[in-house]
Amino acid sequence: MFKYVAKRLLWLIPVVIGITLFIFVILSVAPGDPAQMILGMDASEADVEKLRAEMGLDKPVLVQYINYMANVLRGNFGTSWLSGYKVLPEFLHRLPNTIALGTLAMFFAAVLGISLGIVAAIRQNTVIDYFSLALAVLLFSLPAFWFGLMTQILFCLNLGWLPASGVGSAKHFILPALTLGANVLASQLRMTRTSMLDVVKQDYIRTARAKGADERRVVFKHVLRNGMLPVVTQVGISYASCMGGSIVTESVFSIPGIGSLLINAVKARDIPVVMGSIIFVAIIVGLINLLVDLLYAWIDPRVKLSK
Amino acid sequence: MAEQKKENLLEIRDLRVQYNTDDAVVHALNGFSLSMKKGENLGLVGETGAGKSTMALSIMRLLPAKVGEITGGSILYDGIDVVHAPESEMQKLRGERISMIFQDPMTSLNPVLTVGKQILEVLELHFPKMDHEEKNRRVDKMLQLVGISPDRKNEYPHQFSGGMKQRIVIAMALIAEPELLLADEPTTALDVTIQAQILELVRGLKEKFNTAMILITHDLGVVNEVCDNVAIVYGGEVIESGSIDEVYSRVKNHPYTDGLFKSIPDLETNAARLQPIPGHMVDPTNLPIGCKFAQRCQHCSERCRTEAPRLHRVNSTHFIKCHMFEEDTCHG
Amino acid sequence: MLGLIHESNFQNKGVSKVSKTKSGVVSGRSAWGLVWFRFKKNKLAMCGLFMLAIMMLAILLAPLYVDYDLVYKQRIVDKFQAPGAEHIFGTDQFGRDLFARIIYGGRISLFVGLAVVGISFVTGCALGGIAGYFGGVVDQVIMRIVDMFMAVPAILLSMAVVAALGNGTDKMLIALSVSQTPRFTRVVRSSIMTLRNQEFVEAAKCCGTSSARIIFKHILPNGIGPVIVSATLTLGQVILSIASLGFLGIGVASPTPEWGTILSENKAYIRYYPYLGLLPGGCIALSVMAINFIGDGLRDALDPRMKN
Repeated sequence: MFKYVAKRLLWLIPVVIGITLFIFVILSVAPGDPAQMILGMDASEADVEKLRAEMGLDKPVLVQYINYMANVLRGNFGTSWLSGYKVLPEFLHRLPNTIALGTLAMFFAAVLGISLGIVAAIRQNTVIDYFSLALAVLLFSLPAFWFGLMTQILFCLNLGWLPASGVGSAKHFILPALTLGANVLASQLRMTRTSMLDVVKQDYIRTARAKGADERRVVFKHVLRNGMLPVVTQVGISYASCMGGSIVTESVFSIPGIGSLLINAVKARDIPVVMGSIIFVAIIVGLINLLVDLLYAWIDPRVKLSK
Repeated sequence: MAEQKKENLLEIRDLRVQYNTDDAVVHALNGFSLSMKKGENLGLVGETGAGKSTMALSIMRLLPAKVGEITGGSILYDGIDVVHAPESEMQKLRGERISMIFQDPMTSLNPVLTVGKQILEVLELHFPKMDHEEKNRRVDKMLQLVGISPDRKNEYPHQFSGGMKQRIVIAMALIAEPELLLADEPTTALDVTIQAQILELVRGLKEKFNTAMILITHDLGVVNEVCDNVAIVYGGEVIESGSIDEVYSRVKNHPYTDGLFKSIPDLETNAARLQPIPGHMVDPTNLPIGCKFAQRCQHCSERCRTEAPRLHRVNSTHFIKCHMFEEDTCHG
Repeated sequence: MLGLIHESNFQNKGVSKVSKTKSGVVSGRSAWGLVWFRFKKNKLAMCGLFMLAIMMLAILLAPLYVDYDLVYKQRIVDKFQAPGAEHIFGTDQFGRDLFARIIYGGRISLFVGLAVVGISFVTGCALGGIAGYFGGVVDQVIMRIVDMFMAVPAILLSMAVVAALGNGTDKMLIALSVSQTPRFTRVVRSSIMTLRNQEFVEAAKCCGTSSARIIFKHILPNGIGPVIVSATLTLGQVILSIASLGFLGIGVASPTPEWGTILSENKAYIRYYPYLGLLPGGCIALSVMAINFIGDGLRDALDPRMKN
C-alpha cells in the first residue's frame, strides 16, 4: 500500500518534467520574441537584448529549461512577464477559490448525477427515466460558458436572487458550481444508469432474487455497489475536467482563481504563469486520481494495489 | 384427479412462456406440463434451447423482466398459484421453500460481498428472528457440509476456484433447507473430475435435508445415477416422462429420446459409430404447426406435420407425446 | 474496451435478423451494411444525422445565399434589430447581420472541429496502432508519453500550447489536435491489444499472412468501430472547446466570426436582447447534440449487446 502510493507520487515527477519540457520546446520553435512583446514593438534593439539576457532567453532552450526547473524545485516559479507579480504567492492566494469551485462542482454533479442515474435505471422507460436522459443530453451538449452566462443573466441580473460575480459568500459559488458541474453531471448520470442496467442483467442479481430478496434489497445491496464501480473510476477524470472547466467558469463569474489568471497569461504568452498552472494542475489531478484509485481498491475486493 | 393434485408438490399445466425480444418472439415453453411429489428426484433432459432453464425460472417466477412473459397455463406449488401470487408471497417462497443452483458458478456470486455474507443473507431474509450467533453457526456448519473451511467465509468469490464457488452456491441454496431444489446444469461449467464430486455432494445433501430436486441436464447418464423419474424436453414441451426404469429400459421411447440414447458414446460396447440426431433444434421463433420434432424424425408422416400429437399414456407412469403411441393409450 | 466487434458476430446477428424481417433484406450484407441497417432504426441517431446534414449544407452553401460582406458590414443605425423579415436573426451592437455572422462563423466551429478530429484520429491511429501491434518497449514508451499528456486537462493543455505558439485559428487547431491525440492513441491501442490475440488473427498468422495484411485486412476493420464512435463523440467536445476558447478570446479573435466569439462580443447586451445569446448558443448546442446523437447511435449499432 505504502509502496504503491510512493510509486504513484514518484510518477508525478516525469509527468511534470515531460509536460513542461514539451511547452518549452514549442515555445522555443514558435515565432515571436517574448522580450519584444513585453517592451512593445517600438522598443530599441538594445533594450530588447538587455531584457532577453535578464530573462535568460539568450541561452539554449535546454539550459533555460534546467534553470527554470531548478528554480521551481527551490519553490521559485518566477515572476509574471506581463504584470511582474511572483507566480507562486499569487497562485497560493488564488488556489483556494479554484479548488473550492472544482470540489463543489464535483460534489454537486456526483450527488445529483449518480442519484438521478440510479432513479432512471430503476424506473427504466418511465417519465423520470426519459426526463433524466433528456437532461443529460442537454447538459452534455450545452457549452458551459453559455450555460453560465444565461443563468447569470436570469438569476443574478434579472431576478437578483444570487450575486453575479466575485467571491465572498457561499452564495457566490452556487451558480459557478452548477455551471462547472453541468457537464460532469450529465456524464455521471448516463454512466450510472448504463452501469446499473448492466449489473441488473448479471447472474448474481438473479441469484440474489432467487434467495428471496425484495427489489429494494436487490437494488441497494447488490446492484448499487457493483454498479458504482465504473462510475467511481470516472470520478478522477471528472475532477480533472472540472479543473479544466474552471478556467472558463471563473472567467464568466469573475472568480479570482487560477483559471482567470491563466486566460490573460495565455493571451499575452506569459509563460511563467502558464507553466506554473500546468505544474499545479498536473499535481492536483495526480493526487485526486491517486485518491480515487485507493477508493476503488477499497470498494472492489478484486482490485489489488500493485503494478 | 383431485386426490393426485393434493399430494403433488409441484403441478405445471400447459405452461406457455415467450420472450419478446427486439428481433422476434421466442416461444420458449409451448404447453409444458409436469408434476412431481414431495421428495421426488426428477431429471429434466433436453438440448440447449429446449426450454429447461425457462421452466426452472418460471417456477421461481424469475423470468427476465419485461422480456419473459407467461402467456398461459398454470404452476401450482403446494397449493400456491405461482403465476398469479403476489410478489411478496413469491419472495417468501424463493430461497426458503424453493431454491436454485445456477449453471455458471463463476458469475452467480456477487463479486463485492464475502461468501459468508452471501450465505448468511438467506437466513437474514427468511429467519429474521433467529439470533445472530445461531445464524453464523449455521453458516459455518453449512460451509463445512459442502467441504469448505469456515475460516474462509470472509473471503471474496474471486478467491475461490470454479468448483469451490459451486459448493458455495450449493451451501446458499440449501442453508434454509428448502423443499424443492432446482439444479440447472450445476456441473456443466466445471471440470469433469469436479463434476462427479459436486453431483455426489448435491445428492448427499438433498438426502440429508429430504429435499425434492429437479435436475436439469443434457446428460442422460447423470440422470440415471441421481434421479427417480425423468422428463425429456423438446421444443418447450415434455415429450416423454416416466420412471428411470421405464424410460431407460428402452422398450418404448419417443423417437427423440431414442435418438438421444443412440448419440451417447458407450465405452463398454465400443460402437463403431455414434448415431447423431440429424438436423437442428426447432427454431423457437418459428414453430411448426404439427409435431415439433417432425423435421428430424425418421418416422415422420404427413399427420406429424399437420397435427400436434397428444400425450399418450403407455402405462400409469410412462407418457409419450407421439402419434406412434396412440394405440397404447389406456383410457381410464 | 467494451465496444469490440468481431466479424463473426456481425454475421450471426445479421443472418438471424435477416431471416426474421420480411422487409426484403438480402442476406449476406456486409458488416458495415449491417451497422447502417441498425443505425437507420435508431430515431434519435437519424434525427441527429439529419440535423447535422442540414447545418453542414447551410454552412457549406452559405456563399450562395448570404453575402460575405454582411459578416463585417457595420450599420450603427440598424443596431439591435430584433429577428425579423429583414434580418432573420437580428443584428448586433454594430448593426451587423447576426445570421451572416453565425452562418460564416459555423465554418470555423464545424470545419476546424472536423480538422482537429481528423488530425488527432490519424495520428492517434498511427501511434496507437504501433503501440498495440508491436507491444514491448515501443508500447511502453508511447503509452507513458500518452499518460503524461493525459495528466493535464485537455483544455489547459490546449491553452498552454496556444500560449507557447501564439494566438490564432491555425495555432488553436494545432493545440486542440495535440490535446486530443492521446485519447485516440489509447482507444486504438486497447482495441488492437484485444484483437491481437483473437483466434481469427491467430488463424491468419498461421496461414502465413503478412503483418501489413493482418493489420489492414483483419485488425483494422474489426477494431475501427470503437475508434469511430470515440471520434464522433470527440467532435462534439472539440466544437465545445473551440467555442469556449473563442469566448475567452483565445484562438479565434474578434471580429472574425465564430460561435464563441460572437457570444463574447455580445455578452454585455444579452440581458437586454436575449436573442443575441440564445441564437449562437443554440447553434452550438444543436450541432453538439446532433453529433452526440450520431455517436450514441453508432455505438449501439456497432455493438448491439451494449444496448439496454
